[in-house]
Amino acid sequence: MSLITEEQVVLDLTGADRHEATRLLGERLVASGRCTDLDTFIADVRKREETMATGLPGGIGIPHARSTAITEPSLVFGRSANGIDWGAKDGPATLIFLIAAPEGGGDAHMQMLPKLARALMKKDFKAALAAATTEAEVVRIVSAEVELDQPVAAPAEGRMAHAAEVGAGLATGTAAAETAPLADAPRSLNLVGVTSCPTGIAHTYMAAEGLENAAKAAGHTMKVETQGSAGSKPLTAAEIAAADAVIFAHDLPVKDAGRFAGKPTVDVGVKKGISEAPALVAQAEALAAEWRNDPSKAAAAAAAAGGASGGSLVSKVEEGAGLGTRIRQWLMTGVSYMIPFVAAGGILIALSFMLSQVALGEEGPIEIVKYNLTSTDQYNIAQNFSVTSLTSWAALLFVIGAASFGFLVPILSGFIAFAIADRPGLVPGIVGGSVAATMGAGFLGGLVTGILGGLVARWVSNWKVAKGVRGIMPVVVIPLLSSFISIGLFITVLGRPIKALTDALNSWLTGMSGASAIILGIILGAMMGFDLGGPVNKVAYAFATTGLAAAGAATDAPQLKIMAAVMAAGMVAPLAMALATSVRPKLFSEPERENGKAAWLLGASFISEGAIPFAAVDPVRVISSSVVGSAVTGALVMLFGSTLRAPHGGIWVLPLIGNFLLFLLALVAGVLVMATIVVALKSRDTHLAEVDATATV
Amino acid sequence: MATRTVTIASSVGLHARPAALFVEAASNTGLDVEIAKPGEDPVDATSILGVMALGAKYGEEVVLTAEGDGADEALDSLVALLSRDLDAE
Repeated sequence: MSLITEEQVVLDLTGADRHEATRLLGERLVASGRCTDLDTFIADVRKREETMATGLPGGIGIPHARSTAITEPSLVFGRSANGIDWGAKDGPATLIFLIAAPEGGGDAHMQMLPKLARALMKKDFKAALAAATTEAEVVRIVSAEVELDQPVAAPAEGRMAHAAEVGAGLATGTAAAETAPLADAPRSLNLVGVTSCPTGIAHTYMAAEGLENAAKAAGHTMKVETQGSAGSKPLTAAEIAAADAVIFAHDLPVKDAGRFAGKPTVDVGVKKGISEAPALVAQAEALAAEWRNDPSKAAAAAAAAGGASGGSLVSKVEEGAGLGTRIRQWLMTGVSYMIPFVAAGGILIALSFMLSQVALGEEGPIEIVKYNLTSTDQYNIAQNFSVTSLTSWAALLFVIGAASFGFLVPILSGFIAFAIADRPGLVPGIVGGSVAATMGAGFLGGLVTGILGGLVARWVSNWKVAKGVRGIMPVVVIPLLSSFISIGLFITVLGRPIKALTDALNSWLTGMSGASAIILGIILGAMMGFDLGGPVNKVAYAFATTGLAAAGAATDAPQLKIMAAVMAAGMVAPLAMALATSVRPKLFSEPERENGKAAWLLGASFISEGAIPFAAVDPVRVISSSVVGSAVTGALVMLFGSTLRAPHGGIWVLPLIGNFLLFLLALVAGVLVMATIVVALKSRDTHLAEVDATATV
Repeated sequence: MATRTVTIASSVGLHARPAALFVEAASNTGLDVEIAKPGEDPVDATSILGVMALGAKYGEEVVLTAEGDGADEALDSLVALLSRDLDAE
């Protein structure tokens, strides 16, 4: 059964206006027995035509309708030498396609339109129709482009559940039958994937697990390379070669993406890997099926990816971003490489303090910070380590943690420069950061040496130099000159004012108590709750983690309170949404309730993104309540003075939190506030929402 | 380069009328906006034929990208448009 027959072609279409012309075309459908009631059908077309004329640029008209008077999906072609006004801005239509579909045949309708549109984008398709001299020729030209049972497109349609409903009795029946062996006997596929997220701590691994489980549930085998901060165990070349499809769920560029060239690839952000893994696996299945039927796709993709290969270090810088965005991306690259050092050092130091309190009592932490690796007295832990002494173990943990903290500013600075200038930035960045730290210019100094070193390194590496020198540029000239220029400038000019600024900032933070501390807590809390893992949230988070670097090994620095406040505030939104879905399930859809269950765990793990599914559906109500709840928690933590020296972890680092009972109290308070507000707003607005939906129409 | 992913909410898909409204909105942004199904080649979002050729159905995801000043805002408004059932309006 074809869409178009010779009876359904009018080579010389006339008519005073498009309605009259449509009627002439409709009569052909009556003649070919596909239309049972011309008036009903014309009325249906006209209804559609009145909501919006169907003329398209380039002299095309596509009147169309679903109608009870139509028995099978059909096309009627009309050609008008003088053109008939079809409502397009650029002039009358000369090629007219009347598309008719049976009522309930919405999918058949939707199969015709895209194919027709695709064909109309080709110049020779239009030219061939304009030049055609017989009806049979038109049928051949149109059928070649617009058939429901094209083998390539069929699997794509076949995977849509509703296509099957339309299938019986329609032209798609042929398509469904042809592809049935493919669609009905799903093969077990080999899938591979890559996951990554900016911090490389939680999402990377959650997405990997989500994908592997979803693939297993669908009867496939899947192996995921987690490009997180724990390092990645790369997929082997054989595993990639054997893969039928690839799923990237990543927020950082995929390392060595060239390895996957020529494979059907589903490419999404890391959150999808967590929230919609089964859908991604289904997409991968569909792609794999499509590619099996069309080998040219693999070749095209391989060619497109040719030469693309990534280094082993990644930056978060996108091409073509605005200056503000780029500066943020530079800084975030630095921060993301610094975080593992903060985590290792912070947790080691926190554990050391806990142990030292057991070993030495209240004053333990003050005693333990005296330990080092260089002195000649009893505090040199390298010379005086005793396996049986708890104090020795505490001192060991402290010394390692402190060493890790010593790298914070150099790594921050180095990878900011790396983000700007790539590899040549590393030397001026890291050395500059070390100088900034030694001068006491802290992380502010590190930001400056990073940006300065990066810019100078990029400048020097862009110099046009003689061939002979080019070979030694990356190893000698760029590191030498860029370090000398940027760090020399920093030491002689920029360093001292920045040190003064750092001192001022530290004394401001240290002196901050009472009202101003609470205000800072409110601001940081509100930022954490505002976009749930977006840029504002990340700025507050970066402020806290870089603060940890400044706090160093101090036992009661204000920066530790800020970290505690930021983490608690970031846990509020997902926990509150989880609470709201369990106390008032009726206010939420089924998927939201499911999400609510996961949000408990996400919130407890300090993954603010757990609330995004809710905010995406209902941003105003969810975000406004999230800002309030998170601000309450932030303020309370600052008020209570809980401290934290781990940059991440949620309730799993509870033992490392100073005053953790009060920390929990502040968290619970914020969660209750937010859950109450969101439930109140949603209950008040449930009936309003419906009114809204109709009002905006 | 700003990017958004959105699920088509129009009950009959992104076809003639919803597509025309979308193309008009995309053209009004004055930016180079592209639309693609995930993993496929993008098409010019200001071309009605291109958008219709995409054949995005109800419930399918499309990826919008735009470049230039105000690209984020422009995409947000287009996302909002596609998230409505244009066909029922």
